[in-house]
Amino acid sequence: MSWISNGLRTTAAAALLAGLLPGCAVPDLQPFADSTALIHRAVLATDTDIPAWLEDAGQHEQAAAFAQHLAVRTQAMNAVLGYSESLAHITAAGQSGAQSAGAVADSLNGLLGAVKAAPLAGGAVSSLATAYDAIAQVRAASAFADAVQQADPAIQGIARILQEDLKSQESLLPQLVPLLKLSVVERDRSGHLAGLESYRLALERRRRSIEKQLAATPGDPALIRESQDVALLIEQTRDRYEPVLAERREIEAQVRRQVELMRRTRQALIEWAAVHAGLAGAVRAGLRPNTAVLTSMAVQLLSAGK
Amino acid sequence: MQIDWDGLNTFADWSGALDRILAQATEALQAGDAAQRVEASELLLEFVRNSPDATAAQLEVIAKAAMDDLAGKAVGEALASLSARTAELALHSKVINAIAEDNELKARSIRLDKARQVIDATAGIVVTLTELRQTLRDSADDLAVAAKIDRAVKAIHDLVPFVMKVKG
Repeated sequence: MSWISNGLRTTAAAALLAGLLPGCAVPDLQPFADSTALIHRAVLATDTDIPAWLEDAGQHEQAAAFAQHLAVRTQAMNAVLGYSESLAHITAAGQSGAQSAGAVADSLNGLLGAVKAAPLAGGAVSSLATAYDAIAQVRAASAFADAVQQADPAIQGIARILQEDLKSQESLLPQLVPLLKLSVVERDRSGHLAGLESYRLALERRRRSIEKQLAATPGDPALIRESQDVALLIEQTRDRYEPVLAERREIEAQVRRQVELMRRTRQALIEWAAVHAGLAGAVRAGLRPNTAVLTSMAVQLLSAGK
Repeated sequence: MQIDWDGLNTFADWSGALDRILAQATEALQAGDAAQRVEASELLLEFVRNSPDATAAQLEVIAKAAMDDLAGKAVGEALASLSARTAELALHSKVINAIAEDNELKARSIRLDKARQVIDATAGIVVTLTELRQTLRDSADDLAVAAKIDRAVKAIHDLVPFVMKVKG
């Protein structure tokens, strides 16, 4: 079966070298992939929080409708993440040409062994690996540029829609805050918290009234005594009423943080889409895409999301 | 709008205050201004918090309903805006998923996965055929089978260079 070895070896090398293109390199995809992952996380966080807040604000039907539409946003971001990973796989394939060629050489040696032919010489395998290393990079760069160019209209569309969504939600969230703050006491079905709040505010109102009277008649012993009594009663409500106020402050703070996260995500989306639009051109021109601004925004997004 | 809550005592006082807040809420709804709606809703919340149950329990119900209306209007607008874009977004997602699938195929092609699979499978067939060839005797039937096996292995040999050219 010696007929197979020489012919196969030369033809295999020729086949691997076929299609050699002028050189251009696949760019470092890491900044784009990292920012995609962070935007994905930020959009997912928003998608989870909005229906929950709507529920808390008593907008149950709308919460369910929102959840349905937001699920499509989650699917879109999952698609974008999968796409970003697929670009990374092309990049990785381009960077491991020698390894791929080595694996093919191993397979070829398996076949040669099966037909009792001599295996490929070590030098031939090494030449094959070196040659395919360059070919793989060129094939990857070409595949990468084609994919990015083909995907760009959809990527720009997704980025635009998500920006519009976020802008709409940035406007919506603060409008829910009064209802959310009211819900802190309304959630308590026993009515104890609502009663406590009425009692506490009545005491504070009485205290202000006494202070006004004392300003007009300073030193009035009856007023002073009543003022002390009211102060004591207010103090006695502190343990139960302070948590209500703290929860309301936390709602306001959470909404502020969420709105800020949305604003930053929106800005990051603008830069992310711009970087994507430039990726194909950068690869074809052999240039590194400028991702400095995107990286900086991704870092800010990360801090805003904490 | 500034309201002196401490200055409200009678039902008429509280009712008048609520009327003024509701007028602002109506104006905010008509203007479609989010900041004005927040301000009106905060005033309604303060009304609910401050109004004494004994005097203004019914007014409190009205104030809460107005808060619901303001929030409901905002949510409705946001939902309408969201749903108007959902179909287009789903379409973009399909395109991106298809491109991602194609990218995975391209990555596998660059890694020469298919070439390896074909060569490995071919080697397996050759091994099996060779083993079978060794079991054959000198009978006419066996010799006919041996000749067919030799032709099959030769055909595989001829096929391999073409397989190597496939970028799959």
